[in-house]
Amino acid sequence: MTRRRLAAFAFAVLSAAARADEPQHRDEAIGALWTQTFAQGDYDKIVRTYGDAALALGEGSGVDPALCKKHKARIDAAAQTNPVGIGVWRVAWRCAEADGEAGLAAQRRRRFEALVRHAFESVPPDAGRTPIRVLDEGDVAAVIAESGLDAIDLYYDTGRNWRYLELVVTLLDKEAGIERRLVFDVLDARMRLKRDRADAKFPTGRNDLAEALLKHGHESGSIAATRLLQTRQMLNARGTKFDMPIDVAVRDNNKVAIYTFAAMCTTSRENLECGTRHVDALLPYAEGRFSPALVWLAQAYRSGIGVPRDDNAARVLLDAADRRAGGVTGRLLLAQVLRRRGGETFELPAVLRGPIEAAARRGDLAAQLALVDAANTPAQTARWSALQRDAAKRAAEAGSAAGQYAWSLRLSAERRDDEAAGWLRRAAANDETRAQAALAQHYLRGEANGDDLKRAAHWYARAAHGGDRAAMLWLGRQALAQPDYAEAKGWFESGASSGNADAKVELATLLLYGKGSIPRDHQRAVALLRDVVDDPARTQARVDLAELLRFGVDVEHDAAEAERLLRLPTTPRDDAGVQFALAALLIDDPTTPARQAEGVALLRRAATTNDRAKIRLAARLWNGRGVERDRAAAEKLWLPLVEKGDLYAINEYAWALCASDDDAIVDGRKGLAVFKKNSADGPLPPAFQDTLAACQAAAGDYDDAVQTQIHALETMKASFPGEKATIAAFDARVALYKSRQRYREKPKAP
Amino acid sequence: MIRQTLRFAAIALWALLSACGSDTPPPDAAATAQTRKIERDGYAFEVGPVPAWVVAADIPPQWDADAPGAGDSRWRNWLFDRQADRRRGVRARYSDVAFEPVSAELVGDAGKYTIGFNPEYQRLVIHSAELRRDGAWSNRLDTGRITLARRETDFEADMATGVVSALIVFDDVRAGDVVRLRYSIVGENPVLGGSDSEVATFAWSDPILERRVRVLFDRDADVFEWRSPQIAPAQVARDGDAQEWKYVQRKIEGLHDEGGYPRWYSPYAQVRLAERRSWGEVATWAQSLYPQPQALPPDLELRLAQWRAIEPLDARVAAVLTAVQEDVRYFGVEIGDSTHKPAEPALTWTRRYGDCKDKARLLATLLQRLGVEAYPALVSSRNGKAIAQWPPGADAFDHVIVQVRLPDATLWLDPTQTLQRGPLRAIPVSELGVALPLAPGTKDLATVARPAQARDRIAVVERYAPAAAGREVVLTVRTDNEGTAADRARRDLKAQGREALQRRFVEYYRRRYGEVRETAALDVEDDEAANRFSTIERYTLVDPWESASPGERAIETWGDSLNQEVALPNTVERKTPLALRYPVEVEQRAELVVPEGWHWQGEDGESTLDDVAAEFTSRTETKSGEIVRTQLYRAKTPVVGVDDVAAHLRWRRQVHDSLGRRWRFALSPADADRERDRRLQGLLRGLIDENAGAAKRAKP
Repeated sequence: MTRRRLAAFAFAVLSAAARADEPQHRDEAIGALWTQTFAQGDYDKIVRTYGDAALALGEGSGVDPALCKKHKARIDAAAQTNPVGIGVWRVAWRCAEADGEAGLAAQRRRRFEALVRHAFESVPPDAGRTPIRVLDEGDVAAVIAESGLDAIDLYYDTGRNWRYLELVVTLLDKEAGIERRLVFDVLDARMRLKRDRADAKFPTGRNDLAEALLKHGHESGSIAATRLLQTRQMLNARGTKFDMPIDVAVRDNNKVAIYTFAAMCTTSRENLECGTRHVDALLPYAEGRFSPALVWLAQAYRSGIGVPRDDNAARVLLDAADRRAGGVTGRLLLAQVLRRRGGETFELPAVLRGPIEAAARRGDLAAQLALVDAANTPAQTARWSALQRDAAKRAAEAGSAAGQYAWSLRLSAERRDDEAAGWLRRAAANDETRAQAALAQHYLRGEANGDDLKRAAHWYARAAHGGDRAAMLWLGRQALAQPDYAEAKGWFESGASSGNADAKVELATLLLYGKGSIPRDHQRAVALLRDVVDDPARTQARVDLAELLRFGVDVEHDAAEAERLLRLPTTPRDDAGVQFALAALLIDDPTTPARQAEGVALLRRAATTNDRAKIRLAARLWNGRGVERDRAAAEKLWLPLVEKGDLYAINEYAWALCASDDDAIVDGRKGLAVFKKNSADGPLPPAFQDTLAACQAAAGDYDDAVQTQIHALETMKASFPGEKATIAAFDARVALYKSRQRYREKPKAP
Repeated sequence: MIRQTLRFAAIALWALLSACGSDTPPPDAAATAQTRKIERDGYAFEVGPVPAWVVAADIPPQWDADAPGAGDSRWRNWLFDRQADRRRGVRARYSDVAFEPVSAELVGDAGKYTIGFNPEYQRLVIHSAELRRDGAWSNRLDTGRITLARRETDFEADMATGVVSALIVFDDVRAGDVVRLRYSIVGENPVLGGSDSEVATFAWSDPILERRVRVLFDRDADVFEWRSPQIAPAQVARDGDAQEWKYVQRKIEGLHDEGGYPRWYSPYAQVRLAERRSWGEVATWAQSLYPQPQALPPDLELRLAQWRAIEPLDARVAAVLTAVQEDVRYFGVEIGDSTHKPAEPALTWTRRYGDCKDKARLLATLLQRLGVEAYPALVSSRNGKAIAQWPPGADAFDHVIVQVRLPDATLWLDPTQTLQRGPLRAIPVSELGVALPLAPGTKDLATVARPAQARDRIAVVERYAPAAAGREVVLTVRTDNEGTAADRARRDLKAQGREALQRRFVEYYRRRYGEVRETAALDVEDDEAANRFSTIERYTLVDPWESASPGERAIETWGDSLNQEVALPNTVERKTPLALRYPVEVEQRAELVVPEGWHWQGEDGESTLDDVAAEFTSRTETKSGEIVRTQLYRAKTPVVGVDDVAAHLRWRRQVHDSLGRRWRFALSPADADRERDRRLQGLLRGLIDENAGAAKRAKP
């Protein structure tokens, strides 16, 4: 439906109530109210207004005069609190009318009409791709109630994008025999209303809010929310038989689940066991002339799934669907799903292509977009037909964001770069996610300066809210480089919840160590890593997960699982990280000498390239554990790393110098000098403080040693309260230094 | 020098007042001297200064930034100040209210203020009406804009109270203005004999910046205080001849009224104060209003003779109860003495109407004449057993029932009820909790127990019998109401009439199943002795089937009788207890005859959902070609405590979700295939015709 037609429809919806001789609220005024609401409105209070307004609703969608009277104060207050709530103002209007307050009722009715008109007219001309902005399902119910038309469908779209939670309403114009499809969105407005709240900054907050809205909707009796949850349950049952979920969908008249089920049965490449169930489920709705049912029955005939293949029957059904839904809407629905299943090389089948192209030539914006919006690169647009090129241009000029993006790609292919950039900017400004990501990438090309980075971050942030996973990852990594760990976590959380494996690994790494204000969370890190380790390319994730399971700090120790991960056939054996992790596992296992030997061999191999392996190998050489003692070789491995300020090397070398049982090699002063090579900022972890205290004691600085060791003990208790043995050892060393003795580590068995 | 002079003047005034001693004039005398009486519409009010005993409060210039309502509240109450003077038996109550319509929508409400008073024994004195705009106060007291009218707001509840409403109109009130009104009501209903209390509430639906309550008792009065725990203790002081109780609470949040409370619970924090007296003293006062009745009219004496012949005793008592309930209409004229003093039984009988106390006195008198020990008993229909904690007083009660002391049992009967039937000992009264029987020697409140035999049970059987061919279904619905449920159903029938009731019933099924034919008139069976009231409905459902697929058809049944017991309250997230209808038992059975050639696609089963407050069971079984589903709800307690509310409401949702059931029947696979093909061909033929028609219309 075009913008003009939507607005006309809005008027038609309200014409029964509107009186021509009364001045209308000017739309700029309503726009200002929205701006004011977004800037100052209290989220919780505004949400509550819908509950207050609903108090006056009786059976059906009308207000109950007795309830209006009873809850008058709350309804009045709701209208005051929520100046843009269509549902709230409708109840306020109808209640004033029921109460005989004609003047007030007229005033409120005008506000209601202005709000609806503004909602419809604010939608950009993009064939219904941008939903109508509302704050609550109650707003939608109010529009339906006042339209005087039958709502034959009301459902949340299963294939939702991140920016919106689309509530689809199909109204039936009985006189014309035509369906009117309207798409509303609550999510974007709710997010904007949240403004500065922490959970509104990142896309994951958008996702969480969508889930919360659906859950709350389901619990409050929203049929649309319940149906979406049911449909998801059905989708989760993929791979098994559909019997149970589709039975529930049929029982509950859940048309969206039935249509989704039918679409999956007739277009999926998987061999689903649908039998004739989808045909049986569709048939009553097709008999009722519901356009989606006609479309999916047509696809059943096209594919020969559930009924014998019959292209003529498919054409009859599609013609009927188009007639019922207007234009070529039925065919466009089928084209959209087939394209999603068919990938980039998808070609429209003849039964769809002819009528869609004809509609595009007639200027049907939806048809024009259908011909061009699969393109994602200039190269794809270079292969366009003249009709497609013309369609993109006309859609772009009509103001469609998707059209502007497609047209910018085509102009780029034609080397008209300046024009292409202009259209790209327009598309991005109109919230076309792909354009926003492309624009961000554009700013990062070449030598991006500070301003470019800011612009890129701006467009990536907007794209991230539209669900662009690469944008989320980039923003997280940028924040990590600052470093702003809280910010990084927000973006990685978003990426992780969108299913992005890189974001999961980044988030796991952040939680592994705990950075800045982000507390360590090994359990979550393990869960995130488990999600990605099946991917053979995720070697580092496997190593990290194996290490976490080996150490067993805050998570259950599971050496067997750690070893399984490291020995998976797809884990590269020549990776030094893998070798080191496996070596550490085997060396730690004192039960079998053969495993220890394999561990040492792996450690030697890893030490050729891996610094941590070098440090561990040097410690074994220094103490003669599992290898022949060779302190010179050990120092040769340690010293270059110590000079580089490697904290682990410093710790191991200093410990060797300060905590040995052998007085001949103990050199506290040298140990302290080694410690000064430490280049790390911030407080030392407790194990390093423990080493420093050992060196202070070895150098005879017992008072310092006591202070340092107490600090180490407190830090240990606070950070790793579960590490009781280590805490006891630290405590014992405090007592030792107080008695002015240095610490002597007993030699371990080789 | 000036300061010193003022100090001396104050001391002199204090000395003068101290010297007056017991000759101090009545508290409002000073005010009376300067008051102006204004008569209007047959009634009068006065305009005068604030009485001297009042300690006036100040309104701060700004609403505290940290007080509730500082943001964008719709209405703010700046001050609620209530002061009462009870010294020397006088009753003077001063009010100072200041409020602000923050929202322009509520300006209309702020511009009108109504004060109710009873001119028979009270005077209304208006002290001031002011408005603050932009920080400046202006006088808005325009006596010409004050109207007086007797507004019988309770008339629809069959009561006339004699209360007059003074409507004070403030012109030109704008959002953000603070409206302030100060007035006193002097006097109290003399029939109460001084056994009233001071009651003040410390919460309102909108925020209050300051709530003040101050009560002056005689210096040596023994004061009984009852106070909600959330109210801070009073500051008590003795000064001169007064004992002063003072409460001040600031920054009070607006209260969200969750509704659905048990009778004894109020979410509004409250304080009640009175001179200490016992329930025995209150009973003695009340008994004085129920003197020995005068002679009864001859026709009533004749009825007494007839009743005396009825055996056994229970039947005799029941006959008298029915006569007082149904031959004497309920209507109250609660004016003056009549607010608490009942009419003579002879008069009540002769005029054939009376309020609760008239009817209770009549019933008790008649039973006493028949040798049955019976007494009127005062109860609180609004607050139930909560009154037991309050200062004993006449104003605790708002209703009168009758206590009947039989040799082997004590019964509580409500003569204002109608159409109560069944065994006398199974007749219940509402959940009143406690009562004050006006019997000799009454010292305390008595517990009003519900009779063990009382029942409230509904059993519904819906029988669906599909016709052998076609899609019609014959539906028979039998509803058996027992006990209180039977009383309700009987009253329903009487109030609505059989035709309207039948229409209501059939419309329900039309909403569920579309076209419905009534095949017989509504049948009613009333077994008054057993108190069982039954209705039988008979319909033909023309096409109630939903065809999920060609080989399948389904029909839905719904346990609507249980719905009202498990429906969610208006406020689901509660912090207050929730009342249940108790003891209630509802059973609904759906019997479905399986259509010939089809088979049911389901299995027998039984499930129980238990909850601390109620239980629900559902059983489905097949027997001899029928499916029977029985759902049973039983309340276990009259109240769900705060701690259990969330779990109980989850349980309700779960039960509610399981009330409906779709019964699916299927043909054999081969028959289903044939049926599918037939429908698909029909669909395509229809669409071809429609497409062709549309194409033809589209051609110019």
